Amino acid sequence: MRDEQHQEIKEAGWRRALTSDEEAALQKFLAAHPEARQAWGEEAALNRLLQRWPAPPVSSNFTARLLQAVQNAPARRPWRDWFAPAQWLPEGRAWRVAMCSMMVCLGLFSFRESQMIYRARMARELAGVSRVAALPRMEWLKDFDTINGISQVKVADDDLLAALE
Amino acid sequence: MATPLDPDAALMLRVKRGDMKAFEELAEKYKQPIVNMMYRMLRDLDEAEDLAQNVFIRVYQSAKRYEVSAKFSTWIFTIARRLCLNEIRRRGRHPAESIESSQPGHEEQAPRQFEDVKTFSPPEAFLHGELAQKIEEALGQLPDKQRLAIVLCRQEELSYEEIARVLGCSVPATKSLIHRGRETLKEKLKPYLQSGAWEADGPKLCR
Repeated sequence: MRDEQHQEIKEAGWRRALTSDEEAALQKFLAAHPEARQAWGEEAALNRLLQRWPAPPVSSNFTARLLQAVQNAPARRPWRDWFAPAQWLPEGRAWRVAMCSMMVCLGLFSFRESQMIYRARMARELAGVSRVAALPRMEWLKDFDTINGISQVKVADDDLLAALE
Repeated sequence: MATPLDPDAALMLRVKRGDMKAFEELAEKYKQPIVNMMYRMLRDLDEAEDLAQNVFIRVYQSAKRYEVSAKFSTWIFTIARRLCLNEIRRRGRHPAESIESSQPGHEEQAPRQFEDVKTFSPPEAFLHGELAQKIEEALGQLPDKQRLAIVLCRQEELSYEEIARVLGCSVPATKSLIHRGRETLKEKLKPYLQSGAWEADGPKLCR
């Protein structure tokens, strides 16, 4: 008997009584491998023990109580189902760790992004301040309004031009 | 060629359309395996029944959204596994709450009384006692997943693929869980398995 076949028979025995073909194959295997007899003996004994292990008795009024409970049970609210964590969180520790890691990464990413936006705004504001700082000194600007006024005179002084001529 | 519809899924589709008779049929069919699973996991028959009732209530409440995507048995055992493992986690923190007392409005509406007649199956007579206690203890000491895998393994309606789906792991991982659990059971029950005295107590009886 091949190892796979041996394993298949073993796994079949975990769930049900072996068929006559499986039993014959097993006997053939045990005849060829007498050293495996004890292990198979224990395996078969555990199978029989579990098969004979009685199922717990169920109350005779189980279904009647259930039908009554179903009639009394409140209708489920979809929003409540959605927010119930067990409904949408995947099962298993690895999944939960992955979900938590993803949430942490998302949090860190958001924090980093908000920091970058804040720094960029600060940089823009500083650039504005630096432009103001580059203006000429105050004493240079004391006649600024007069000079500025002169430069804005657009109309030619005809009297002055005539006198000069 | 279209695959034939799982008869239990067909019943569930009737439940979806509001057929209480179909729901009753499903409850009658699955009450024993679900209570059995709960009892093996929790080792308390009253709690097992309460939780089994919860499973069926979930089934009923989910009927409107039910789609035939897998065998009904796989689906109901998956619900049962979730509730069972949640209960095991919660057990240490809160005392068990009866399904009847957990229903709002229960106080106003007194429940009808249904006679409870528990019938013990014949093999219980010869497995009731020291050996039954030893099996319970040995099984109780297994990790939850191994215990559940061994319990589900005895459910004839579930294939290894379906057990794996219920447990949320691969088929090889499921077989490995069963193998490791059985090895521990063999170790703990070795004197009984070797003596075989319990086999002489009565007729062989398969569930």
